[in-house]
Amino acid sequence: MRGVVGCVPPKEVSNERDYPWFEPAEIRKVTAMAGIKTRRVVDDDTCTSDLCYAAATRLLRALDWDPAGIDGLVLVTQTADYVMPSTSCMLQSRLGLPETCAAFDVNLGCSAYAYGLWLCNSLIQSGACRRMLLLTGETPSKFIDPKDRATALLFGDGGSATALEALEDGAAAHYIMMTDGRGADDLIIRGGMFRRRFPDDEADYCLHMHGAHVFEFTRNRVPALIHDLLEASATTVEDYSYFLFHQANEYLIKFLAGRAGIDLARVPLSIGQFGNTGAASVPLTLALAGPPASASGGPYRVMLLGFGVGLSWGGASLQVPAGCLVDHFVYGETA
Amino acid sequence: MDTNRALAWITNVFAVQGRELRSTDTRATVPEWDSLGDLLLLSMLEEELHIVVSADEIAAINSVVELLALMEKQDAFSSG
Repeated sequence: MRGVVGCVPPKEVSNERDYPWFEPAEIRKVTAMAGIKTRRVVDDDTCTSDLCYAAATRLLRALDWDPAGIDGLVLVTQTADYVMPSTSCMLQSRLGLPETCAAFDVNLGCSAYAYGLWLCNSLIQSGACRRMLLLTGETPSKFIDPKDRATALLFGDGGSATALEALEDGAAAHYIMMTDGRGADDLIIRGGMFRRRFPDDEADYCLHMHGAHVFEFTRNRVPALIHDLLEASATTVEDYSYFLFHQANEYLIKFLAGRAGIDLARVPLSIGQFGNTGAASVPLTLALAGPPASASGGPYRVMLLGFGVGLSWGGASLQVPAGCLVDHFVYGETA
Repeated sequence: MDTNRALAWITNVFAVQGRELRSTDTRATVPEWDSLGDLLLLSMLEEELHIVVSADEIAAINSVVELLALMEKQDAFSSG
């Protein structure tokens, strides 16, 4: 891993200020449980690909990487620009990457970053690619019904870009990827694709969430994921500078950390400021936290944990090398 | 069980405004008791009362009386 850049749109919405159709008491209740005060949302003309493009451009410039040397681009998102073609193909062109660059989309949300890193790591280790860009992002503001109490106050937009390259002496990383499609209905947008192309009910174009089921799934599955990752990597919680949880719910994150015996000082949060940014939440949280002071510019170990829509969950235990760029910025802001 | 304290707690969980819930209330009489209400109930039962139940168990509760029975069984708000 050579660099991680997060990008959020400039427009901020406040749960307390911008949702007058909800009772203040229920806003306070949701805000207290989920820990979300403000979020960022894109305008109508901006898509996930734009946030990721901006993050990638900034990343390539900061690393002084020649786009011509990149041979793999993976975009993980659930808010692609079009049904077809793959948004990654358009990003290959926009970023000036060569025709020899493999580019494809992966449709995952909350587990996006762990899956994306695992996929890129596999391609690099196999020798198929040498320098890759992993882009993860989401613009949930485009599929949330602002009148839906269950989802309106939770989600924010964001994008990220991560630079990865083959190293002869790279530290080993450990990954665990999991799936349980029986919970597909727990987080679903039923309309707009090919099972139900043009549903009559407008609500079917928006996210439907069975919050209690997702809460229970997280509470039951993530502790085992942490345990198994520690075991697979022969590490203990003390070996980690950061545990980077998908930013779904502050109460849940603190519960999961407590259950695993993780000091909250090692658990950065971005949810209060940016909400649940789906595929972008883990890299954005890392970018916001910056390198830990305790690492003194040297390498540091992190555990990345994603869980949600699918149901899909996964984690990575890896070492961030010394000098890895970690940065975030506001979309439209000049470098 | 101290039923009045339990009812006040349930009212607060669902953020019901302007009245206190009664034991005769049901999902049908409490608009705030929707899927978000279930989530709030699940998380606050666990966080504040240390009562761990599954999402399906929560979904099967359809009245305040049933909820009070669950809380009494778990010794919440004991009047002693």
